[in-house]
Amino acid sequence: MKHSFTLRLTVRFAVLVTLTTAAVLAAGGWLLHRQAMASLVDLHAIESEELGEILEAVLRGAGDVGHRIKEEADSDFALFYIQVRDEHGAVAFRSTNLGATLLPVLAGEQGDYVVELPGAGRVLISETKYGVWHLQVASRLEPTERMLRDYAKVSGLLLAGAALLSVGLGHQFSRATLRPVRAIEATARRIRADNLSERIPVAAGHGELTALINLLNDTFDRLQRSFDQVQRFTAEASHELKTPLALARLNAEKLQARLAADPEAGALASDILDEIARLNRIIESLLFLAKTEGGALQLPRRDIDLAKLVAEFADDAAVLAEDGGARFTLGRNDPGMVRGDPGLLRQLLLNLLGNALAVSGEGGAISLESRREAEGRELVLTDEGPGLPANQLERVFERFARYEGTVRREGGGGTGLGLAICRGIVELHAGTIHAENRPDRSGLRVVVRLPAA
Amino acid sequence: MKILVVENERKVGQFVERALTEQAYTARLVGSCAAARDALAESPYDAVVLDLGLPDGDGLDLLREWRTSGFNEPVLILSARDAVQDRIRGLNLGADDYLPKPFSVEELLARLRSLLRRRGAGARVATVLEHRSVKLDLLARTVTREGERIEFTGRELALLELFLQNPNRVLTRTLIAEKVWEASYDMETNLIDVYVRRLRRKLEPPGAEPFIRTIRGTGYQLA
Repeated sequence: MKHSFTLRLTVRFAVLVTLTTAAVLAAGGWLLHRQAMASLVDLHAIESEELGEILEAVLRGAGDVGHRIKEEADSDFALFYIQVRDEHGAVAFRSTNLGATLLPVLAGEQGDYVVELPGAGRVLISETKYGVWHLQVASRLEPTERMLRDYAKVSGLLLAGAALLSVGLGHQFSRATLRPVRAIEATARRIRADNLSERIPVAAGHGELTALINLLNDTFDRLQRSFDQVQRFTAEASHELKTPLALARLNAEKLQARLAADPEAGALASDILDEIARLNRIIESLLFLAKTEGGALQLPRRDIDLAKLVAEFADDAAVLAEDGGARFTLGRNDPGMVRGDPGLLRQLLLNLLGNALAVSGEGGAISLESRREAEGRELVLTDEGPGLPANQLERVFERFARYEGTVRREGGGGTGLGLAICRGIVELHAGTIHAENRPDRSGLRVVVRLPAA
Repeated sequence: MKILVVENERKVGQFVERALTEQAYTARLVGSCAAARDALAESPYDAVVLDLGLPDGDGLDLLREWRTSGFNEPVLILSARDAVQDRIRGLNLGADDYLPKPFSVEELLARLRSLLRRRGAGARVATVLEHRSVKLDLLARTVTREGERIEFTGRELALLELFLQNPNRVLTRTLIAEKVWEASYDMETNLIDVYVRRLRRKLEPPGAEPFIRTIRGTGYQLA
């Protein structure tokens, strides 16, 4: 499909060239035909004039028609059929090359017409009246027709040649036409988060494309501006939010140390520290989301052995599940590589597990499968919790989405951003994530698809 | 030991300065790139605590400048900016460690001590780590308590090793996540707490005094 435009352009070019050639050849053929007929008519006129003089001489009493014509114009019989009738329509003279054939009378008076004669094919007859005589001069059209047939044959060959040539030329032509577009595409492709400042160069000869290039460059300008804004905003917000938080933490720690002797006050200081930690997590998560959604996050990407990462995660997951009174099992774990950031992928799995643990009852089973699919890798985490109402399945991935009935067991309470972070991480890896209720029993399946490395 | 603290936020800077002074370091606080350049030109320092968001420039530029001009003492970055990205950039530019804000003073001191020690003595490689009656053989990867063998998984062993190698130090969750899980950020689960509980179950017989103490809001420490 990628080259269908080139193909269309080639076909259009070829059809256009072929049709034009055909039209020119046809017009040539028509002109040739007209020209040939006109010269025949001219020749007939000259011959008629010569014979007319003889006929008029005969009328003045200079002998017999047949003899006179034979004497004067014998050599012309090789070229023309000649027939003379008198006023009663009786044939007064017929050239010998006519044999037994009679030239038919159609016009009666004067004119040129084409008839089919047995044995001679189509003939052009020019009829003229001289006194009582009807003079008919005729020529076979066969040589003219042969020439036209030859012309048609040559034209056909030329046309076929032109068609073939135009396909080749059309291909070159469309490639040449699309070359600047390809150059634009190549540059646009290169422009990513890490080189957003690159622009498509406007070269001379791009003509109408310049408008498109300018439009694209403007779009990149806007993209870069909003990208820079996100970068600046998150850097500033991070600084502005964390500096007071740092001071609060330092003070609370100091307070905690001083209050060691007073357990009640010490516990309050500890609570402050817990809340500072939670606030910090929320800030980190929000900034992370702002950056992933603004496309402003650049992480070094590398090839990751997904099976190894999943197996390592499974060890931690089993420990966490055991602690939470649930059971974790790792099902299929197909070998395979993905490209991305291992820390973020582990965070993704931990968040999903955290959610599953939060809804799992005592002894609830949680399982993870990592499958190799045609499209890439598929990670499926399944729990035995209550599942979700259908209208919540999409919403759980939104920020601060909390579904009533979710029992949070984490000490400090969740941030309400866990699944939003999951989606952010998955999208950073060009993958998809969705949740679905289990068909076999109550419970949720979260399916993550990642492209293979 | 003289330590230069480059910190834009005066209160945070003073806090650090005071904590360092309490630990018998000589600390000097400056609040801008220009002042930091002057301070370093005036007299030698054994280490620098460097904030990145400075009023007259970026701390990373300062770091690059120092490293290209041959300043080789340890630099610890203290930053309120995005942990993952700045961390990578900072370490690439020659920083020795990176601590995201909000940080714990304990952790800052511990990391500084370890940086200064790394420079001084060179690495002294111990093959057996001990604390009270617990012995960890790093070569055999075995743990014994009062001579009795205890089975440990890989992660548990890594965590125990971290504790035994830092007997007097409060280990924050960030540091544990970094060293044991190689995660450069808070993992937002109670994974670390769960693993610490498992260590305790294995190393603290019922009724015995705790092997690992919880420092609430901060982390854990060997008891």
